[in-house]
Amino acid sequence: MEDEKISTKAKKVIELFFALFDLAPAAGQDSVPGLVEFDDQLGRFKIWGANIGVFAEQHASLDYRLRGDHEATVLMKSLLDGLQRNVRQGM
Amino acid sequence: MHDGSQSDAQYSLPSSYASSEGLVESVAESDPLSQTEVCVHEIELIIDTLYRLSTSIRKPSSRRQNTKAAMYRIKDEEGNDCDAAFLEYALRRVQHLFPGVGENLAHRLADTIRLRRRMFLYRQQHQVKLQYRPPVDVLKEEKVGRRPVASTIARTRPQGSRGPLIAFPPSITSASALSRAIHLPSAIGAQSVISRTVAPESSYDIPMQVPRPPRASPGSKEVECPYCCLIMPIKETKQAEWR
Repeated sequence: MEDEKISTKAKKVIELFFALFDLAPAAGQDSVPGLVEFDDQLGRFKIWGANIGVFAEQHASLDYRLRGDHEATVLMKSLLDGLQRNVRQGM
Repeated sequence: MHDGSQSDAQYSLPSSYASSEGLVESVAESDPLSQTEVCVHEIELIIDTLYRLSTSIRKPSSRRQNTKAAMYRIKDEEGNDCDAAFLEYALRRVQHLFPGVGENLAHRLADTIRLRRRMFLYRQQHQVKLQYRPPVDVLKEEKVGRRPVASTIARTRPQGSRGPLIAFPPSITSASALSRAIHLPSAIGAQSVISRTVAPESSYDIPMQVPRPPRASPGSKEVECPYCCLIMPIKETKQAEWR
């Protein structure tokens, strides 16, 4: 798990958000409580990702920027893991 | 399960983040709305921390940007180098606004104006390089209920720069390494890198033209400035703060 790149973990966060949104029609509700708030947070996350270059290619990526700095990499990955946990718990 | 537990103990992350799991589990399952609110709140806090951490990560690159921007050449829409022409325009503009200004000072002002323009254009170009669009299966745009999924992105674009994001070929830009001098626990609490200064009101009868602040989507906490391409809190887009 720790070998995963930051970009991979960030990609999973977005995938989990979309999985959460996909559950809304299956729940049989016109509006799932908190869905709008999840949507807002996804928007903030995507802005952050675009600004820091999480999904940028090769040398422009956040993984490359944090090269050689294990502590910062671990911290960033732990934050993304926390995001994944909380989105899963929202399902 | 607790992948970040070691980091949690090593760095002073927000306590609510560290205890998020226990907090969520303690909420009664018969109250899904409260559980959802807790999840959303925790997600919000984590993203706040990501923003603050990114602010510190980008600090060294922000300083280097000025060095790189100084070598940037201003070009027109067709790609023609108009750097010298812009310098001449800036010089004439200064001399027109301040007829009694000394020649040396006028040149210094014109150079500064050109440098600032170079910085803006360089940041815009650099930001486009960073905004690499992942494959469609990751960032698929779907409608959920009555709202499009990506409708809350508080993103603005400079005037005249419309159109979808484009993917640059790889290795066209190189991200600067994180400065080893940054102390991460304090960096998490860092505020915006946007520098501020307070200037007295001009004694001249020349109204200062200030571009309009970017509009943010309802509910968003940050917005990307279309002029300097930096992320700033929403409160800085209020009129009093903006001017």
